Amino acid sequence: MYFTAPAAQAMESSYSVLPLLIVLVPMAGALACGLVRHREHLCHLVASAAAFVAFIMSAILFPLVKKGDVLFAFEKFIGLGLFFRVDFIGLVFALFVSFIWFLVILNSTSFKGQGHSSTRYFIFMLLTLGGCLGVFLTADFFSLFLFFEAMTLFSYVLVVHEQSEEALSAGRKYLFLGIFGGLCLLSAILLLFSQTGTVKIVSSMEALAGLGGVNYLIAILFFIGFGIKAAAVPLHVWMPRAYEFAPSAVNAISSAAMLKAGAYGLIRVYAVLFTPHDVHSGLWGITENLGYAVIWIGIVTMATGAALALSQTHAKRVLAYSSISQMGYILMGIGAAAYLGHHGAVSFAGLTYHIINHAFFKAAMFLMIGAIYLRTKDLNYDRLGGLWRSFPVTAVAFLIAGAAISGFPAFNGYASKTLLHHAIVEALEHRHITSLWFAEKIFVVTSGLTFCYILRLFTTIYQQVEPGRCFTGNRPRAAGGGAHCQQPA
Amino acid sequence: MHFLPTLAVVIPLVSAFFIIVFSRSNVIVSKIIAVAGAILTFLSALAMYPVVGDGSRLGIGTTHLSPPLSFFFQADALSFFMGVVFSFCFMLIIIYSLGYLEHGHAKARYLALIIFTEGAMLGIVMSASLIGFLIFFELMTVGAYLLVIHEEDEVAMFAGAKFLYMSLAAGLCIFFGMVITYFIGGRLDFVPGGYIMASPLARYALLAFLLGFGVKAGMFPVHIWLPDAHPAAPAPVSAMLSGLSIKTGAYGLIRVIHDVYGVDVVRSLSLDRTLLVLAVITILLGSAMALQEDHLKRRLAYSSVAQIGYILLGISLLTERAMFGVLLHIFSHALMKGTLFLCAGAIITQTGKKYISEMKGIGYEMPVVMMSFTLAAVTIVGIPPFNAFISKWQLALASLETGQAILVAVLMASSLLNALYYFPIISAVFMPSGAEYRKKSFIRDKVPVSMLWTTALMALLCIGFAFVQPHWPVLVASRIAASLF
Repeated sequence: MYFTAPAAQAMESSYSVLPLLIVLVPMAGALACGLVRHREHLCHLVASAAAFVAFIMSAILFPLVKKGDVLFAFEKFIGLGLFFRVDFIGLVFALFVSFIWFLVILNSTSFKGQGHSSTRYFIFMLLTLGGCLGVFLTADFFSLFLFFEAMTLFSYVLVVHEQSEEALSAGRKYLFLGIFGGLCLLSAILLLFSQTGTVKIVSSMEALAGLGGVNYLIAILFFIGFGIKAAAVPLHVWMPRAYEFAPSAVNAISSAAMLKAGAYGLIRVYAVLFTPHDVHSGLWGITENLGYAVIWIGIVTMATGAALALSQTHAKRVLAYSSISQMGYILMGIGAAAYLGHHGAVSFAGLTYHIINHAFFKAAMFLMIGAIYLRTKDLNYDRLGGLWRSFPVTAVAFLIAGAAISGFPAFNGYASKTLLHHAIVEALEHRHITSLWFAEKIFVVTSGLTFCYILRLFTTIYQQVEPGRCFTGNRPRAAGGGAHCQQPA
Repeated sequence: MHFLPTLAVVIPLVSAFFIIVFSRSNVIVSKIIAVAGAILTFLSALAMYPVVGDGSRLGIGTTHLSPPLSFFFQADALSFFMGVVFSFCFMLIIIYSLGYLEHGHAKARYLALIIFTEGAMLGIVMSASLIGFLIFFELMTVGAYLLVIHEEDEVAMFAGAKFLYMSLAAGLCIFFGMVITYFIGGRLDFVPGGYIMASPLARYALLAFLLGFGVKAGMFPVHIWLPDAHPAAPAPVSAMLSGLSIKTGAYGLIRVIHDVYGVDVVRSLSLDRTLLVLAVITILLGSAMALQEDHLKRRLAYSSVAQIGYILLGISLLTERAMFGVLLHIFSHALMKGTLFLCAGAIITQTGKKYISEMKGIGYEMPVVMMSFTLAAVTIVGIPPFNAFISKWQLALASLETGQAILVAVLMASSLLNALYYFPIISAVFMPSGAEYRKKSFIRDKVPVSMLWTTALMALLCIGFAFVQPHWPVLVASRIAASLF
């Protein structure tokens, strides 16, 4: 990042084929899965192994990245070249994404025994992993766009996995919004290339400032493209239905990784591309304007997500809107980082930490909901209740994750939300713009709302809200526990 | 070496002659002659590469007819490029036809006609003057008409009649333009840089050429024969019509604009603006009409209209980068649309289904064919790293270079529309709604071997030419573009 610029320039870059391998290994794993498709346990094993190898390779990159950026270039690729450059930001993203993906694939034992669609699930999980990791490891926007499109297209197959009418219609919305976003991205990249002659991810404000209105157009197009993926309001409209009808494991990786790919793109655009090289340049003003706009979009997103989460009655929709809300925090952080310019360290730290934290606790919650779904086959609030007896371990885990997401002290969410709060306060104090005072208040209120809907989710699923209303599930041991419950009429 | 262009034209015509005269009743011999003729034509076209690759021209002339009616065959880089694309696709189409005709009728006639049409098309691209162009253009019209009505049912006869009359009118428009050109310029051959001066009469000639070539290319508003002729014809003939025959219209436009009239003349008469507007309408109209078609081949036909709009857009921009994009798009669209129509033919052969709404779940019965369809469809939407993305990128950059950013929006909108009408087909075929489909397993396709392999090969080439560049189409195309400007 550019507030560490002096230190970064002293580092030396190294060349390694590892970034390309990190992308190719999951794809090779997908091919291997296809070849062993008739033995399902082997297929699951191969998929988990491929994801694990991708994680290990990202870990191996760590000492290399400490010394400097890791580069790899494949210049002959379709005439425009495929360039990888792994710096710390990309590495951190690659690490936690590959780790969580590995855990989710390991968790996917319920997907076996469904004929060819289980093979299809594992194959496309791995292909999407390859695309997602590719997003984080690239050096220029064109390569990023390539992997971004690949990720969108492969994840469509995962969203429509159930092949029900609703899943297909939700998937259609997801796909076409994704393609529309991709085309906006392509237009932005084209404009960038034709105006500045390069699409490398470096700070280019000097080149962009001279373009006048066109650079705002580029910024908007990039925002639409990445924002659709990052679930910024009002571009989030594909999310609730896609989450409701996709399998829970797919929701887990979508929340943990694919939303973050959109956020990663936005970080690269607003905190790298649209920043001037020179720390003391007067062009930081444009970056401030863009950052201010993104702060407000983040605030709107977080508030809308939290308010809508509170009114949902389907557990996965609550979590979907919760993801939207948390992405709002992250968007606000990105905006604050751009707004504060080279004073934006606290904001950048907060948003990156929140990205990691959110990946873990949201993936955990979706996997828990998935486990509950396997038992209860229904996630509507009025059909759930009293499950702490059937799912004691899950209830405790849910408490931990819920405390983290609400920002309880001593949990990771507390640290990242506090940092983000510091960021918005610093943004307020940077230029004392009144609207940011309101922004800070909305931030605080939303954090409260987050606690509210998580509490509601917890009590609805696990606690016995009304006497006589609970779902005993299929466990034979629950016979004793069911004595004081009646089935819903 | 200089006889190679003539050879490339004469071999198919002679093969057609042999089939009709000698082996009309013996289908096996006809098939052998047809395949051999196609392969030899491809080889002779390919053999021109070393000489033509560095910009010189090959050709011999005939002075047996007096000027201006003398025509001779000459191949420069552009002719070579088109010639190789045409002969290669024809080779695959003819091999495919061997399987397709297994349950068909009039096989010898079909084979003779298809190789005759190949000869006519190669004659179009190899001829060095407008008169040769027109002669082979009319021959191609005749050959293509007889192929369109091959099924001899009512739909085919109607479509064929529409096709024939419009193509004859196109020929007359070209003749009109030719006459005026000869009157103004005194010659009819292709000279790099053009030789006609601007004048009101030249404008009429150019409009006539635009109309004539536009009919063949499927430009709005004279594209109306396309959505009837392509579905009515047998699938390999549709592949030929969509993939190759409409490119002859584009080729004619390129020749007239660059080698007869010259870029400056065209720009000063603002014919490029006219072509640009028509191209934009063609792109958007083609995609919009494709969305509402349920008949698969009609949808593919409208998609061809939209794609030829890209090519016409590139031609009208009159820059080197745009021409590069145009040539790449000609190459990649021939492969993609060829694959799509060959898949449609395979679907009809195995299941008899023509409407997309009937095709739920056929991916399980014909995985290879539908995978080829998927590859071609993904390529045609313009998703990197596949072929058509490069041509779309170059066309978009060229539009930005000429300061017309709105064309980028048109290209993006067209890509979105392409996705809107191709992806639902793939989704319905492989992931149909209904839980019973989740347990189904894949079984092998039941189409004849020659059809299966040619379709798969064409699909693989769609992506095979994508990953590592520059490769020869890109090299040749960039050289051609540089030489035209």
